[in-house]
Amino acid sequence: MDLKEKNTQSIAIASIQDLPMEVLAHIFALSTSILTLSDYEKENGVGLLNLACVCKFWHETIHLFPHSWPHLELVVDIELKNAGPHDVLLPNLCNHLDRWYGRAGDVHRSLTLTMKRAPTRTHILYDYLLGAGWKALFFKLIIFEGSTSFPWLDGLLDHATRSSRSAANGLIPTPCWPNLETLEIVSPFTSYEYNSGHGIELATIAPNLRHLKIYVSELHGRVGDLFRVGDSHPFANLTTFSWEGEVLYPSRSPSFLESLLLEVPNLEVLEYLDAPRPSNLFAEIPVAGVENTLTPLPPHKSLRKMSVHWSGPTASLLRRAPLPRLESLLLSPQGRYTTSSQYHFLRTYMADALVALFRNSLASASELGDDIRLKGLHFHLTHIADDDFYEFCSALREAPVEAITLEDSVWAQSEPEDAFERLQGFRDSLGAEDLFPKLEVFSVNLSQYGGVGWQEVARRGTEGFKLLQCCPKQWWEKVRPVPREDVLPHPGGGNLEEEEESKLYSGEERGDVPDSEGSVEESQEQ
Amino acid sequence: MVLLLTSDNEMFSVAEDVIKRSAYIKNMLEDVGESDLPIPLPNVESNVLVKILEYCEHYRGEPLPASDVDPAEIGDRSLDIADWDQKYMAVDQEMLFEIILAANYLDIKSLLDVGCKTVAKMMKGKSSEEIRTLFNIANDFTPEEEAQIRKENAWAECR
Repeated sequence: MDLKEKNTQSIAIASIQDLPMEVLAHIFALSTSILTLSDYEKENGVGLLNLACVCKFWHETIHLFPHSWPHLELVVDIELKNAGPHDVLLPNLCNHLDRWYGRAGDVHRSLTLTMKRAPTRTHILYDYLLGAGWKALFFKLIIFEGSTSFPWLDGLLDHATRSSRSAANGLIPTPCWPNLETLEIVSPFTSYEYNSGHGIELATIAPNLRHLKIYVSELHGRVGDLFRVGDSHPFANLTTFSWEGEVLYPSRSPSFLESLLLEVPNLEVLEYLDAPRPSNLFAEIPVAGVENTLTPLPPHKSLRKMSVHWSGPTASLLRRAPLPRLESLLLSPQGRYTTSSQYHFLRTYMADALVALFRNSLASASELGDDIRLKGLHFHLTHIADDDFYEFCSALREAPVEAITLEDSVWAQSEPEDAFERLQGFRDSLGAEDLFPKLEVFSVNLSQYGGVGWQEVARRGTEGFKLLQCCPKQWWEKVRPVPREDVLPHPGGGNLEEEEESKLYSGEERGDVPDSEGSVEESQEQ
Repeated sequence: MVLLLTSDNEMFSVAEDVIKRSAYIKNMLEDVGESDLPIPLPNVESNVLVKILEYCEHYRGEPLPASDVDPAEIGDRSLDIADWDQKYMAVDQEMLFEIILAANYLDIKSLLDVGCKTVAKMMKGKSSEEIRTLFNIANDFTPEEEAQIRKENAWAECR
């Protein structure tokens, strides 16, 4: 009688014990084990060890399948030091990690290191974290008092760079993380500053990186410069690039996004939420008539998912880049608009860019003998001006979009009903049965319509969906929430322009308009 | 249409593009070709197959996941589950494990993954004792054995 039989005999229902060992091991591998260093106290890594203590069958399963062990989350809640009691603590920590990962055998390792204090450099840990065994490293710095850098991580990256160079055989560096595929740095309260020419040498230390995610509060510099050192290409094998953080010095032409599309052929997911300050909004809109800025880019044949802030550079990119394999596009706003005229101009510019994107991608897919795959559109606070509405909807109709989410979006007028009236006008002008023939799901989210949050989802096959397809105005009247009388309508739901007006005009009064070089800061200083 | 015969002798007629989410059925159809004979599913009861087909129908037309993923690789370890999947998995424990077993048998990787994530979420943050209670599992360790396991994995003393 095996352990499993013995264990299930004594109980009436224990369906989890009916699962095959390999499925149970898969569940165990999803369970995060956390090791916490807190106030010099040492705790066992919970999670997996708790599971091992449940019963003999589970204990056996956990030790039989090495892929339960390669991931660990280490939470450091103390200020690590290189002397005093930490003289012993740090080597012991490394030994403990070694024992943990040792159970995984040759499987590549993954570590999430969360720091709740701003730690100093710790060379013993740095040495431990280098090597060919690492496949994924996640660094999180969670301190709420704000920080101007992440010195521990800077130290690790310096150490990694020096190590890669010193191991050089001749002139070619030996990467210290040759198998690292995933690197994530999440430090949402850090304002990251780097010296020019002293960026992260990804090409030297981790040339096979596939997933890179950086999340900081702001970057004093340009994203492209942060990773590019010399002529070496840092992103040759990248499939995911995710950046979130305000970039204080946006890149000039060619933009960083453009260089990604040109130089990273395998890129599948691009998230670039750079949230520049409003003064930078128009810094990089190409001047009309400058031909080379509108030169079409070659089609990018791998990109499936893109999330970007809508801005001048974004619009310029979308307008020029055919993305035949794009499946999902999320547009979100950045900052606030400085002037009314800028706001209106940008809105039209963005609508034009989307129309161009749909049509260029459609043509490119056709040239490749394929269908365009754009299935999901998510607009957050993204507005389409009245004048652009029909053309935008026509282009949207040509693209086989299956899911549209409007999050406080598209309402060009003060109220959503005006937009639905225009949508009705567009529908009536079609002479076709359906508004959007390929649509499967239509979702409207209003964060504060009439003072409350509201969401309506219409799915194909429902009566509501049929009504939306034939009579969008009637659908809106049927589903719309009843505004509360005691709360004034909030701009987030439909009155964005009104809210902007006061800011816009005050902006104009300040003369807060960028010059042709986009140097608003200078004009403010003057 | 594809005919499926469950362990309780219920016959189901299913569109081919729906059931092809199962790599097991897909391979069988490719090997055998068109046939009027039902495919027997001796490990799946009709009430479970109904639930499985609901999943396949919902994801009809979606691209199939790559089949060459090594389970030992460090894949997506996030326990995030899509809204629809969460609602779909809001069933009692018995049905949950039946779905996982069927997904494993029929080789529906995405469904197996959602099922495993659901169970992992149920266990998250719980002690050994709480997990035993949750799943009605008997503790077959002696106190000495349990203490020994904890000791084996204990942090080395460093003070």
